[in-house]
Amino acid sequence: MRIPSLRRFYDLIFVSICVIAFILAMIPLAWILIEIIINGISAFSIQLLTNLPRPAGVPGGGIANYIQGTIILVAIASLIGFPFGLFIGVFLSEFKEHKLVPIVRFFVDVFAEFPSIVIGIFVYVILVRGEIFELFGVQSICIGAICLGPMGFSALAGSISLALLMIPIVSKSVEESLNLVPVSIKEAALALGMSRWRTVFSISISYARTGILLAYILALSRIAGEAAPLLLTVLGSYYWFSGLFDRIGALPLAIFTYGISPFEDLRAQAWVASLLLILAILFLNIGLKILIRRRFAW
Amino acid sequence: MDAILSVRNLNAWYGEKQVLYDINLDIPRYHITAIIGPSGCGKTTFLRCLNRLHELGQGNKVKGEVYFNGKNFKGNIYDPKVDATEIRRYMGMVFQKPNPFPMLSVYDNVAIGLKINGIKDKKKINEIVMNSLKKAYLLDEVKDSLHKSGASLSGGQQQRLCIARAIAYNPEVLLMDEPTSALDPIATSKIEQLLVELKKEFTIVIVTHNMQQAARIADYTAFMYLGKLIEFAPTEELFETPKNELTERYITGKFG
Repeated sequence: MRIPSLRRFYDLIFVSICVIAFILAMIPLAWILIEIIINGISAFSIQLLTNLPRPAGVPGGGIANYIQGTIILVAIASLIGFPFGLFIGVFLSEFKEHKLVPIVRFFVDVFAEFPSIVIGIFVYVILVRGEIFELFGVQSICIGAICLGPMGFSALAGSISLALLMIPIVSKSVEESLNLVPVSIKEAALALGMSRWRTVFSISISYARTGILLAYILALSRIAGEAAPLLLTVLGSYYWFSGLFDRIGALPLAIFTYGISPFEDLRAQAWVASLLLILAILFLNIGLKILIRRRFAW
Repeated sequence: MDAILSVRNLNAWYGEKQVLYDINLDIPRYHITAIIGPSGCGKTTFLRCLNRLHELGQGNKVKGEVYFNGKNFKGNIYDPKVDATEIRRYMGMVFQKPNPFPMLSVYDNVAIGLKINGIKDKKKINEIVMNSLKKAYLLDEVKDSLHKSGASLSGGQQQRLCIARAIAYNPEVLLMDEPTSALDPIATSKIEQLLVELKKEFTIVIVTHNMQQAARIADYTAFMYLGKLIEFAPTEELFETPKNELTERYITGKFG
């Protein structure tokens, strides 16, 4: 049958609008990418990856400690945040009839939309300045020889604030992945005499493992680029990592402090830091995803 | 009659809706009992009450008794002191749609039931897995793909894999929910032959849509209608001289 020419015309208009909108939206994105790649590569040198920062104007400075710092912060945040996110996700998906589920879901949804700087200020007040101890009317709490007091600006406080950002992202995606596990698979396990918990942990999670790992990567790439909560919790450092309770550097902090500095050489380093961060996130999102899909698909 | 399961006054609900009414039935040991009836008559629910799977659905409820006269368990499986997980280990279940675990290999699909039941000896597991696959007439077809995913097999092979999984941990009763409804005639006939073979070792309860299937393989047949058990008799008797008018009308195809 011939399609009436008027309908073809409408079709053409609609498709053109979509294409134009796409191109307009891509221009700034492509621009950012190109700008970062050009500036990043032109300022790149191996010593940047191996040396500690030096004052502006002194040659040979690097951003190695920021790279190390970001890796450490993200790793500790994962250790804290991922298990919490996983368990909350399991609870939301597998125990739907539980009274607490609507309340937990509400908090997870709210938390997921929270501005990260608010999480930062929260951790700053509670842990960095240690107002949690004031609640109990003490300066610090001692258990045997271990004393906990206000943390000050520290790697641990920074990791905790990143973990708080990570929890709702992980738990929502874990919940969604577990919801995709067919009932027939769970029933097969239950009919074999598996307990409910064992069904969740050895069948459902294993079935949904691709989705769960992708959830983790999504959360990682979100927190790796966060600067706002770190400004309030770790403040940054020019030295190597020296302990959980010491200040630590991080790539987003380097971008922030160097990017607005008046010195040409420091601004160039900010471009390299941006490039590294973007490459890391691209690697996580594209490389690892392909790897996981291949390795864990059945 | 030596009954392995004696169902007494069994009632079941989906939320507020009652789907089984006062079912009384004795399932004979080492025989095939078929449950037939039109769609929605409660056949599947009845089957899922026998291994306490029905109660897991949100809002579902069961009232009544099911006495299980097994080797390792004697008594009412609905006794509040009884652990439903334990009961399910004495029964194997095969579902309407083949549901092997896709993330596990063919081999592990069968081995998993053994691991749940606490068998750790690798040699013993291997022996039982091979034996179960053989009993399910699947070994010859999968012996080169034991380490491929359970989902890589054809539909009929998947269903036989599910049967191998269900018999591996040596349950006493096999509960089968329309196990051939998703399969073609050749796969169906393979599974029917298999069931006749398996009744030497297991008691089989099979829900089926297909009256010919019941007539072909079942020793006893129960006819259910609107959540009630209408008639239960040796298969020949039920099909040739039904006592209830509803049964007669159903098996002659006047409704259903």
